[in-house]
Amino acid sequence: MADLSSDPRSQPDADPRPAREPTTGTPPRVPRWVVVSGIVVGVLVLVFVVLQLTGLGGEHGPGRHLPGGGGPPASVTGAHTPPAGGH
Amino acid sequence: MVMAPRLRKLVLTAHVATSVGWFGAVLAYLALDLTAVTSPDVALVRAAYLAMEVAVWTVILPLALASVLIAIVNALGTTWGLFRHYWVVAKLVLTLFATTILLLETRTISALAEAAGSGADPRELPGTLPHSLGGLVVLLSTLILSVYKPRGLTRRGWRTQQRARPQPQVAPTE
Repeated sequence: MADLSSDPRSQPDADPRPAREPTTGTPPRVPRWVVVSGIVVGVLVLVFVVLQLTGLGGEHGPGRHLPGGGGPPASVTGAHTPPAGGH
Repeated sequence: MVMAPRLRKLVLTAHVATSVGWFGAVLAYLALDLTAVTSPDVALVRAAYLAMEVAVWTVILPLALASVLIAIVNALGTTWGLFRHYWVVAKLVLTLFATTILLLETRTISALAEAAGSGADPRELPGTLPHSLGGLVVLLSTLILSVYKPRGLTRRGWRTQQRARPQPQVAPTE
């Protein structure tokens, strides 16, 4: 007879259904891992906003490498900028 | 609506394949990105930028979009639901965020590839390391959430669970 205990499908963790969590008459509180993750994400967003507002983070955004959007150096794109006095 | 077991396994297989495929594709992209930023070889850097564009348009973006769609179908078709457990909600938010940034970044990557292929020195291009590293961290987070499934019912999940509970029998008065 096969040893079912070694079959991962017989283990509770492999159950595709969620385990029924204990509930009471009141809604559950927000778990600590959600609160901590939220704080971490909030701090990261705040740091990003501060860096953008102060200019310390450099330019950012999808258009930064596009023509007219602070794109790659002219030496790379081959773009030619005429001298101030013209040719 | 809960899917039948066979369909559920099919959707779950597609969900794992697209999600893990996306993660692996971003790893390969990161290798190209690192090469583009650090290599002194002009031809290699140019090739890396061109390969980055191909990888994004033909592998990463299709896998990302498929992953989002299949993940939603998978969640809605099982008893996990989409908004019943905090870890599922967190995964959805992270996946949508990563996909949005990816969609915005494709323009940048195409512009970089175009600049690199123009014939000038591509080593002056900035690469996309912050985004590829950030994307990898986000995808790693979703992977960890999927495996560990940290506990926590949302209010919606709690209400659904309460409704699914068998109602106590009222004893007849007579």
